[in-house]
Amino acid sequence: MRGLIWTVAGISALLIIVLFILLGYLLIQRTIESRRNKRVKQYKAQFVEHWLLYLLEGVDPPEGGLPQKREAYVAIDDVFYHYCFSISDHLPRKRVRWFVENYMVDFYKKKLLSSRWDERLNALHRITDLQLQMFVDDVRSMLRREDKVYTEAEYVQMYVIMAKFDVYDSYAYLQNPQVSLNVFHYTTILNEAAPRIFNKVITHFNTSPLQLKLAIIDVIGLKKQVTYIDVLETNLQSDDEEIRIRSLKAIDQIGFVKEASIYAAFAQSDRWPERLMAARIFLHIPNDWVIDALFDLLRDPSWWVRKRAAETLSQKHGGTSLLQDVINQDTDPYAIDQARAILARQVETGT
Amino acid sequence: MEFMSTAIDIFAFILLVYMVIAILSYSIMLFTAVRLLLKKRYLDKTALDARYLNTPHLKPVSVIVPVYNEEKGVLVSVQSLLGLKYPEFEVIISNDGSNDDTQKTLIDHYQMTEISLPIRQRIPTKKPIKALYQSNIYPNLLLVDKDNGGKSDALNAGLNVSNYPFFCSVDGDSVLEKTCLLRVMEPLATSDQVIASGGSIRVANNSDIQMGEVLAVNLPQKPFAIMQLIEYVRAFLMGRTALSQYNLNLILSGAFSVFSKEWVMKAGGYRTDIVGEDMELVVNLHRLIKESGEDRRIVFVPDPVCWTEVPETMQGLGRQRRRWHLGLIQSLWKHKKMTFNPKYGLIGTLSFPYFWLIEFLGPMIELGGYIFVVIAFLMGEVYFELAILLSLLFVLYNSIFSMASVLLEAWTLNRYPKRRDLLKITLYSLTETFWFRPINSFWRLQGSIQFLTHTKKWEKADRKGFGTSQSK
Repeated sequence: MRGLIWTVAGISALLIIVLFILLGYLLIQRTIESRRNKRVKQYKAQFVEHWLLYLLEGVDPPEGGLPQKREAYVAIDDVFYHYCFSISDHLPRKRVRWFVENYMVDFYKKKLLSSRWDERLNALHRITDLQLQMFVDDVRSMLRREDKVYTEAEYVQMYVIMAKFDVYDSYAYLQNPQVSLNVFHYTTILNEAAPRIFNKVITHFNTSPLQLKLAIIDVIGLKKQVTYIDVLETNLQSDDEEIRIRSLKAIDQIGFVKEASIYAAFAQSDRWPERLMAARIFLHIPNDWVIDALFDLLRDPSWWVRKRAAETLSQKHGGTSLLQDVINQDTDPYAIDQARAILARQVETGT
Repeated sequence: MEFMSTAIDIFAFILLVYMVIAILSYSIMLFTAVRLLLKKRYLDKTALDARYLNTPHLKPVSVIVPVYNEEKGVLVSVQSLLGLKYPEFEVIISNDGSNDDTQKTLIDHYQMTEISLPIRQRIPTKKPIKALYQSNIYPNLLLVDKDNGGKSDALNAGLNVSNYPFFCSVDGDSVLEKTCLLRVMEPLATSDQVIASGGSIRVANNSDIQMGEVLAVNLPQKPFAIMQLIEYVRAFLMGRTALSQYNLNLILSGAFSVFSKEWVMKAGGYRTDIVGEDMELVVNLHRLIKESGEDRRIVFVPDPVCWTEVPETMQGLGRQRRRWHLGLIQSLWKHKKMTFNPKYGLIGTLSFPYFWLIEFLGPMIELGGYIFVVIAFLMGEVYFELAILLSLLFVLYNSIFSMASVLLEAWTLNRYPKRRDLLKITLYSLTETFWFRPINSFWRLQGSIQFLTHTKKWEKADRKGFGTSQSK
């Protein structure tokens, strides 16, 4: 028993000593970090106006403002990032790229090659946000490394960079990624992809994996790319329900239909999400038959479909009187309920 | 006498086995949490937030706040919610028949008017909704007026009113950081597998909170509040971070968690006959996931922080802890068939046994251990050595893990940046074994007794309210 007591006491004492050493380290680290942050702040206070002048008007920063120490690099990186994130002007971004290429390549490269995952990811995000095209070759080298496996987040961000800067082989990475990509990942990549890459992806739509197909449809809708309406309308014939629903959603987001007649069938679909999307899309179809279809959808078993049908009807020409007719003449209590609710909302909001 | 001696020996053996299992479990959790949190230490979260805000993936969220007599703190909470950085969300305050001025305060402050909206009663509520109000200043702010039916009933009413596919439950006395919703929604936005995600809760007592924003984080002044601060850091940072890694988490805090509405509807919403509605919902979701055979996850994210006021008195804290423990046992008991049941995967074979042993039986065994140590010291030589061994294990089991969690927090998230504060909470954590833990075990034991004796007394914590003397 005594031996056990001494062992447990020894372990406890050792752990407490280790934790107190860690406490000491953290306290010292906080002091160092606080001094470092203070120096970054001081640098910013002294030079931020010069940097803004450089970005806006191309005025060269003073000799003393050029980065030599770590705090200057950190401060300039911060100023560039915050400026570029809120302004989309072409010229300031070009100046950022020129400055980074001449003074800060090593700063970002060191981060890119860091052994720390968080540092590497920060660098990849900066390359994307500041549009630092000069690092594309470094990113490509990282992707080709066989001795190193990166995390999913890193691979996605590397693919974003490749697609964004229109690198010729970026499409190959989308077709055969080094990690399994989901719709979110593909959407993130395609959302930032250069038009040429996006076109190429669409050309190969039929041979793409399902996750990529869904992402393509989502991005067409998000970017309201009316030029691809044919792709979406073709997808409405797909056997895959998810592809059909996402295509309907994208068409609704674009707000334009080419072949109005093909949407009538969706109002009769067995699947309520398709009927819901039909009720939404009918807003963009001026034909008279749409009104009758919406009246039918107002009596739909799904609450969401009824709600959407009532909303679409209210936004149609003469919508208020159409809903009033439902209240006065219809026998379906659900339809009357929704019509009443929409009209009441119009009165409350004064629309 | 011999029988007595044998009984003590058996108890001592049980105690030692329990301690070894608990210390091993905590060690695994601590190392998992250290590995995960240190990895993300230098991640530029502000830049990540900005990126997410500009992505199309974030789904709209209904923030549901059940309130009952929260007139002192409700405005601060609602203000913090309205200031959230998130593309599309609505805030639904579900007033559960408050008999103070909660409703009037909200209606007056946010210029709310009654609206007529057909409500889809997808989850039955004990008490019907009497009226629905909408703010003229913030159109995304709604107020549900209903008779008192309990917190779960208020949440269910809010769910029925909600318009969006995800909802976030927030306590009426909590303050959310601006990026909270964005960060807690990230796992749900980036993976279809995730159906619920919870954030961290931190102690706000004595911090400077104005206009729904934490301006300066200060340590609480009262020892009980400081110990809860340490306890929260340990529970959230060490326990939930590690359990979440393997999809083993049975608890997401009701004070701040987001859920897929579809799954919660499938689960039948919040149970109104169980005190710990938050744990019950998570356990129920795990059960549904396993029974449906789908590959879904319930995750915990340590970054987003919700600040809340904790009880500072023994009486208030005791009430809270009895209630929490009663809720925990009710949930474990209700789903007892999942225990050691391989049909429920690791949830059944690992999580449930862990919760039964460490969370349910733990307080009883620990309290027994404390009593044993005191008696053994009094009895002199017979069990003296065993008492020393147990005391050391208690220090290892409680204080050292708490100290390690506090330092892990300081190393990674650093929400208490003042050096003096860090020193103070570290030293406080070492005292846990000697006073806070035995008292806490006693309250939890009372919770077990309440469960066994079917005492169903609603015990509500006292609230001071943010922005009052304590928070200045």
